[in-house]
Amino acid sequence: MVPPILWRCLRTPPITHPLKPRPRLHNFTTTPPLSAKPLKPKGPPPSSKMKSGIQRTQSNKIRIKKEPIVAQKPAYEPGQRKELRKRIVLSNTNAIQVVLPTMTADLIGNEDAAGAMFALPSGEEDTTIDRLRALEAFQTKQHWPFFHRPCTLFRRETVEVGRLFERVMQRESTGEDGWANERAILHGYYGCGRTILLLQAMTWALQKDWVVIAIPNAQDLVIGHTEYELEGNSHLWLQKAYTTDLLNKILKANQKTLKRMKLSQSYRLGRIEEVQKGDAMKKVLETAVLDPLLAWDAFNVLLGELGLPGSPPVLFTLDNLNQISIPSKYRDPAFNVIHSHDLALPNTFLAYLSGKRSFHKGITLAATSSKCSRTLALDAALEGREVDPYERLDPRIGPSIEGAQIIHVDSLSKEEAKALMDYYSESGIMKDTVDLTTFNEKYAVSAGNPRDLFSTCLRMRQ
Amino acid sequence: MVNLYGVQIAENQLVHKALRSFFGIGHNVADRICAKFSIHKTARISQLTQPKVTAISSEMTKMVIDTELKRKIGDNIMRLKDIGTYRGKRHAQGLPVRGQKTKKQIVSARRFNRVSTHT
Repeated sequence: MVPPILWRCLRTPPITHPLKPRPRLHNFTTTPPLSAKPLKPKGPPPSSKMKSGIQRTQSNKIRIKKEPIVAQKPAYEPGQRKELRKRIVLSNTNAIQVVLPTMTADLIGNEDAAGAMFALPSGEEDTTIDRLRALEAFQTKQHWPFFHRPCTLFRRETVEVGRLFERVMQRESTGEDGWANERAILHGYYGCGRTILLLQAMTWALQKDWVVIAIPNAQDLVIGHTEYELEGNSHLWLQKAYTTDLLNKILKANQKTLKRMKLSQSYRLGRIEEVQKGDAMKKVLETAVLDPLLAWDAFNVLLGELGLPGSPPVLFTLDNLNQISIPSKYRDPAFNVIHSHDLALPNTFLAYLSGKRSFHKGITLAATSSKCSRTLALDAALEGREVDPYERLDPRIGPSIEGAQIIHVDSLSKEEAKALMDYYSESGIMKDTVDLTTFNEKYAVSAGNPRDLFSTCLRMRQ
Repeated sequence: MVNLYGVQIAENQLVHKALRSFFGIGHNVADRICAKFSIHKTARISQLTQPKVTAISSEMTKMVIDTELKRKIGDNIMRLKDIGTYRGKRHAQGLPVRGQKTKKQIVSARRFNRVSTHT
């Protein structure tokens, strides 16, 4: 059978004009090819009303709108966050003012005052609070910003601390030339108010024009954040940068007393500097504060002078005793851990605490801390119990606090808690009225712990 | 900028971190170097005295670090290859050297096991 279309006709190529562009054709149309409009290019029209999402899927190009890069301003300047963290606010003008008697030096050892609130001395001419601030006696998280002015509770333990003062002052007043040294450790559970007791002791000491030397947080000495170097003669590690800071604090807090102190002999500071006999101690410290190389010598001169008859009485305090009862984070050149007692400043403090060195008249006061890893050797020493020879405890800890009086800081008595709750209520931070039911409830919940009592009394935010 | 072991280091850099920037010095070695010169944890380069910087640099010259260490590692691999060991062969092939399976992923081996990795 012959096909209707001849094969030959199919094989012949279509006739094309060599010069004319070949129009693109629709598959089926009745329009003559030459009069037809050219086909539109594929893809959506420029003014399409299609959604941008669909458009994006259709085009292969990624269209990113470039924004100019703006250098971001940092949220905090260098050091700003630390400043915020360490800032101590001592007054709140929104809090209700409570009229309270001032905590004066007359109250030292006064048992009748126990269980009452007292305001820290402040006034136009009184600089006690500024000096306490310089000594870093106030710490963050002690709830100072909730109240109109700083006030503290006079406790049974405060009376005991006052007894230390009394004993030294008795010697002073009787004109005996003997040595009067009191050594004590404040020890208790967490939040029981050891640091506040140190603050109260410092307040009295400053009011009595004693020289106050305070190491506000012993942790700073051992965590390896300050410079250290070995001193050849004593084989102790000096922390000159920290000592300079300490001298600065001492200088700020004890201006008047140090001005009156005269040197009993000439000393040499560092290699070149010399201070003459009869110079004021203030001048020595001012020289030393400018140069860390002189700091340790100046500190020793200060301690040496305070050990001589006729020198003013001293209060030497250290908070967080536990921190210097564990190995420090420093390493010696042979990469052995340096024992905290081999650091010069803790060593000096412990020498005074254990009675190896002594002031002519003075109190050495330490406070333990709960925010520290376990210090079994210190706990055993504080309890005064016999150490089992199979317990491998640090043998240097026990003798370091030997002979120091241990003041147990207990939870609040009911009278003390009542005084404190009344004060909270009058200051406006407590929602409930203080009646027997609320008092019993809050006292039971907090178990008389001052820190817990505050949190139970604090008015909830509405 | 302070010159430490021939490298310029920014002054506000922590000493410990600056030391760790050298190949062959990790946390442990940096700790030991710092302990040797009584440098505390938070010390910055700017706080170091010039004699101390020189002392650290001279201490580092005694150690096998940086290019010297890289060359040493490369040489060790080359030695393995030259004496025709299995480990040398595996290094050259870019395959796991220590008996790992090769059925699935051997990305690390492909990346690191080369004869000339460290040279």
